[in-house]
Amino acid sequence: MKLHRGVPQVNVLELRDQIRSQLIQVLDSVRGTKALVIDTDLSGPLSYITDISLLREHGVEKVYYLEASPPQTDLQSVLYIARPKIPKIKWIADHIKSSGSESKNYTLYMVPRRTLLCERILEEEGVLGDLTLGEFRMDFVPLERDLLSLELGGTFKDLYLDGDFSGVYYAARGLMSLQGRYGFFPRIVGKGDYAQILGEILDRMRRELSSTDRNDVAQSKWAISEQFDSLVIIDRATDLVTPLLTPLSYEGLIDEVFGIKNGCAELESATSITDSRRQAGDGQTGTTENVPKKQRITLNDTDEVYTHVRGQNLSAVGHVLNRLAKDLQDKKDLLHKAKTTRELRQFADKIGEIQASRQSLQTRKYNISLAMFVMYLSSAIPYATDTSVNETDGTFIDISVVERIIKRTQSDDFNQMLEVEQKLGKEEISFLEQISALGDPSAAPPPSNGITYSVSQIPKPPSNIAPNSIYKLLRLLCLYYLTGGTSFKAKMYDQWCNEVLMAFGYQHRVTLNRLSSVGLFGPVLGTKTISLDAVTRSRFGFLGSEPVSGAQKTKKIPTAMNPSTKPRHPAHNNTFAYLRKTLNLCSEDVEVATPTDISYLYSGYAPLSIRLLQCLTRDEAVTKSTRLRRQSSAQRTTDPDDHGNHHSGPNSDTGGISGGWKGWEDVLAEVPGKTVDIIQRPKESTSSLFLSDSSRTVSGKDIIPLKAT
Amino acid sequence: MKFVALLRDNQQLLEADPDQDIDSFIHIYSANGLDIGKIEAARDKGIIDCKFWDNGLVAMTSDYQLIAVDDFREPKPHSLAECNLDEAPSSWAIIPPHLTLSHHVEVLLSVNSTILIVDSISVQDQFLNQGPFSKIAISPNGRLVALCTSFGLIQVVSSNFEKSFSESTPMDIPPNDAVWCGTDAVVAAYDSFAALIGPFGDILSFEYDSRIFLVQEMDGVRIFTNTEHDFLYKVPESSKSIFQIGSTSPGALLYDAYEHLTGHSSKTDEIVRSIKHDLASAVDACIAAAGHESLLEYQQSLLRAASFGKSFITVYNGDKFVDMCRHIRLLNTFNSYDLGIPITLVQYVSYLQSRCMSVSILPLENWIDRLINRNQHLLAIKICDYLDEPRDKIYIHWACSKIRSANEEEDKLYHILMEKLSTVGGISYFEIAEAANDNGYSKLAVKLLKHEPKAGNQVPLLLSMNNPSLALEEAIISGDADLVYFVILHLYKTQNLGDFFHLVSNNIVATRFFEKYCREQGSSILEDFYFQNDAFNKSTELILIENLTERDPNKLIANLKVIHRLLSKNKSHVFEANVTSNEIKLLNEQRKLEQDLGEIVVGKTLNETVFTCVMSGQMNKASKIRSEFGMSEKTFYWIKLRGLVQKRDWTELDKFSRSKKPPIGFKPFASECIKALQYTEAEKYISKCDPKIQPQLYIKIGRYNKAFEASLVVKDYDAMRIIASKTQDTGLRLEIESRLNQAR
Repeated sequence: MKLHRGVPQVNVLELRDQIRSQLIQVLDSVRGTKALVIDTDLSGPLSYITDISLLREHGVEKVYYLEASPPQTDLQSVLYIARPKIPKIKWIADHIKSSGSESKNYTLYMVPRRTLLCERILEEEGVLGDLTLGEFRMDFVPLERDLLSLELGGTFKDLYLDGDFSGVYYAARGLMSLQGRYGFFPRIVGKGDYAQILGEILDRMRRELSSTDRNDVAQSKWAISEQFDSLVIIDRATDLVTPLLTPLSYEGLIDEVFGIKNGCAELESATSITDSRRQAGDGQTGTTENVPKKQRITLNDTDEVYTHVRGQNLSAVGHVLNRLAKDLQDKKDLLHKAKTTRELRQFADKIGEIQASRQSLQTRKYNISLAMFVMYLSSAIPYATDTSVNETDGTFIDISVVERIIKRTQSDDFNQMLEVEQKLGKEEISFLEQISALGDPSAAPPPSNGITYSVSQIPKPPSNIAPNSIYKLLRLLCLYYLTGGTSFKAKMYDQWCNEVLMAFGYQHRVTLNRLSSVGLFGPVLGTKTISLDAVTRSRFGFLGSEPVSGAQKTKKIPTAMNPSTKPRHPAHNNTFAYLRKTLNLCSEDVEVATPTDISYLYSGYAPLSIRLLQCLTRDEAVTKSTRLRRQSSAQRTTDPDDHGNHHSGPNSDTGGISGGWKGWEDVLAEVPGKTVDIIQRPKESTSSLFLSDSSRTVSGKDIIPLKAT
Repeated sequence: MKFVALLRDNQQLLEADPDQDIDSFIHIYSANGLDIGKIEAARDKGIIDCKFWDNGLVAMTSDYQLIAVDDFREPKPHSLAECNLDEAPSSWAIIPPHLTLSHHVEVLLSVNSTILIVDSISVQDQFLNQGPFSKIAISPNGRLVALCTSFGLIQVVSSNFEKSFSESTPMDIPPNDAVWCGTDAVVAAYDSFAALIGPFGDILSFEYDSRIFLVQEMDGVRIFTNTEHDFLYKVPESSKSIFQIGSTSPGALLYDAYEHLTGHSSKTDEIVRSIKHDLASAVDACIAAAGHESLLEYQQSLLRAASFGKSFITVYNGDKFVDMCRHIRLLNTFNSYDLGIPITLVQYVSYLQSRCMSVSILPLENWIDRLINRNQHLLAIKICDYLDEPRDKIYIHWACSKIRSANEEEDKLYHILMEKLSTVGGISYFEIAEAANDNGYSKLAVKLLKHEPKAGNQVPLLLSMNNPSLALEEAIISGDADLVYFVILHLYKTQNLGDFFHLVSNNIVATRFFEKYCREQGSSILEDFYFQNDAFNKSTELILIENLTERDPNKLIANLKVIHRLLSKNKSHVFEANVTSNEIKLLNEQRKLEQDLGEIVVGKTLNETVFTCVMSGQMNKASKIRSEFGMSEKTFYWIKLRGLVQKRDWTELDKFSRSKKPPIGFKPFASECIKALQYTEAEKYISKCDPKIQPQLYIKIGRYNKAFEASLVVKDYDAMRIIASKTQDTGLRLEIESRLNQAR
């Protein structure tokens, strides 16, 4: 769950200091020198907060990754920092038990929360008394100046498959501390079942806050925020189609080819051609010795060139780089350097290869011309040889990276996949059949995918690009299912299931079951499958438009809390087709070089989640196609009785969302999940907690004892 | 015999009960006598003595071991260093951790003629020879120690035993008790006689009618007899400066001036003028002195004097004056006979200050606690109103006491309570509900609990009220996943399995949480759970996952048969059942194949099995399996094609392509051959492909002439251009160019 914000005056990177000082407290809570054992899930986020020298300053002698086997250390104090997940906690318990007679000083900090569940597990394992427990509250990790992330992997699986909403709760806690810093969001709008639950938790937490820590409320700035005019929560379940598609931006393709995790991409040095220039950037710990050397590259706006190209459609990257190169070359003429000429030659060889496949390129959309590469070359080299650039960090404008991406985009396989994505006609289905027929069951699913059932325990390279992997087939099948509407019949489902099982093995029954239960792939994209709704809708007796005070709250049967990834009462059989038309999801003519619409990202498809946001801001892109709607909604927002006008947002004229969801009811009915709209008002009676100065006048009589009469 | 301590902080009683032979506990009671916790201090041993400080205690076990508990809120008893005593020490005392250098508690034991200082690591013998000591008293600041020998000698030494300050012998017998009065003097009690021993050994005696008891305070000593309660303390500097005979301090002068003013004497002006620049300090002195006076009359006149002096100063911050008035008013309230909590300003203020250090506790809250523990709710509210402090706690306490002493019906009681409570915001209702529950008003408790805003408070109480389903609902509604786990695991532990399953399976969220917990915890209980709920499809998943690591085909098949049986029970799983029976069939087939082919086949997928057949030349077998398992034609063609190409069996491939029109078309045949670099073979298939794609395929294998011919057929000018750019044959190129020109 990531929150994008475009508010310039808030730089969330400043939150890093806060987390860092918390980390220091954690480190200092263990006296003297210690061994630090970090959960692998946290190593990425923590690398944003700290570096090895800070750890050393605070007594960390050696850093280990949390694994099943205990860290081999002679140090008396061992400090664990881990996510409160049962398997990890069990490992820690095993470590403690295996240490046997030599008792060490164990401390465990859970991130972001010390849970009763894990305490219970430790108790069952019989080690609760042997270690000190604590909480390291790192909720949101600031990745960019305008991007915060919980960095919780597998949350979608937790939420929609396992029904475990810890992630939502953590998000709520994170948002509460954000609100503590910047003030309450004046308005919370959102879409999706878990979005609604998050909204409710936030509302509840605010009420709890005002009822318990009254002093805090009075002291800190629990007022309505001035920097934020609203919080928009979009549940992933509202838009399952987009992540199944291949984004064609530079960054999107890096993720597609290499995978981006914690804002970093890891490249194996062996396959990287130009890595001789810099060493592996993973300078974090001393434990990387046994791991095959990987180049770890941070992808964020600190890299100036990357900032310019990350969001560009790949076919426009060349132009951007060209422009940048010119700027750079004005400053320096670096082509004299020997190093550069070597690279030039190296690159010339590569160009030969590209030339060979030019033929196929010409008919493709992703026509990366040779000329562009020459330009690219001139831009890349000055940058790469500029010694002022942080050497260890690595810049991502790297020839080998671009090469690999281009290689990938040129492969038949990739293009066939794109075609399937874009058309999903009869011909394309035969491609699916081909994958299924030639299916390679040993190709493991990509590591981050929580839904596909991992068959073998044998480690395999991440193979989201492996041809004929089940991952690819399922990805396309899900897409087919989600966008197909009524054209996808129950019979076809059975048929495809059979195919999958034949090709990839019987055990994938589990995979298919799970896909079906999260609504990614199933018998019918049903309109009549949800019956619990009557109870669900009024789970709290209100739909979230108005905060209800504790006393009036009516509670319904919570067994109905059954979030779904399907729209509950769609008026159309093929909801996707309806949305595509109404929200202008697919546009034919796309300007990739100077994009005016988000659809350039996918060369013609605009993500639904972004369109939803644009609905709120009344953006041209969505209002254009439904001019009538815009007029009617404009009328409504100017209506003095309009609910949204009670709250006048600070920038209701400049893209604010004061109108809320008004006017989009038809669209929202077709999008999965419930709708959220909460207005947060300042608390009325905090002033009575202050001592007003007028009460500080006392006369001589005021020392007479008070009497209880 | 019991050892009891009253904790000032939260008005809790601690009691060590040495009567029990084994497993001694230290009980903690609330002021109302409720047992609210116990600490297991010594296992298998009784406690014979106990000493307390604010937050902790040191207990002595029957074999003279010392055990310390540092913090009552999170009691973790730990033993102090071993001192190997054979008999009880003649006396002992503790220095609380905040007064020692090491910040750990130290214990002083009088053993034989010497003193041992014990902390958690070491035992230090001080090698004294005047002992044994009948009494050891530690000064309030922890720096000085008073030792009483059995001959009545009272010595004052530094707490590190390096320096001796005074020695005196008020009587020849050891005193009943000896405590410190402030940090300067020691008071020794002998039956009905108290001796105050000054810093230089000088003695002041106080006679009483009956036997006296001493209680040490931070600024003095309380002396109790059967009928009297005296407080003995050093006269504060401010009072001394004003009231000492012949004092000419500014304070004394100001007070004198004020007295003249009341007597309408003109000397007033003269005196005030003589104070001049010291007027501010004079005012301060009067304010301070007022705080130390216990009589209203003196307090008033001192404050009036201050007020009078204040008016001559142009800039004077009145805060001190206002604060003092408030303090005095509260002190007077506490000290008044009908309340009877006699405290001094020093005790009150220092207490406030120490409290203010920790942010979480409101100042004054503890004094309010004392009032409400005495059921002085109205007074407490008045004080809170006076000081603008929140009153919710008082209301909560009131409600609890009301419930405890009530004899009304639940509904009526509810209305009585809500009448008052609903007017106050921010009340945490769970405490009240808890009290209601404890007193048997379970319905009332549930009703009250509905007002509680914090789910974390509601849920544990609901559980203890044995209302598991409601607890579960509240936990889920709170959105706090951990709380849900807490409830589920609590129920799992406390309920019998049948009831537990029933509870959980009635709740979708709980079911899913429990499933996840079991999966991650590796608990086998999930099988029973699914079985009980007839969740056959899910139980088959469990068996299936188990099967993943199974290599023995017999066991695999046996497990699959179980799955099949389970799935057949429910009509909605027809598809799954079919798939399963196919899998069983496949495994049987694979076993046979394994014997025939001599290579591992078991565990492969159907497609792989067919592929293996093709690779080992068992074409008939492959076709047989295909038809038996209903594999689609297309799939079969792809597999066979790949297999034959990989085998490089071109004749068989040719035969295969001719057997009938391939459902996947000829293009795959051609491209697979191209991939295998068999261009001649590929050519055969290209000619059979769709004419439209032929040019591109010919280009791939470098047959430009043929490509050109093919492109002519379909008028593919793009292809022609490519051919022209690639071919070495100038004739062909020219021909193409002329063609292109024509077309234009």
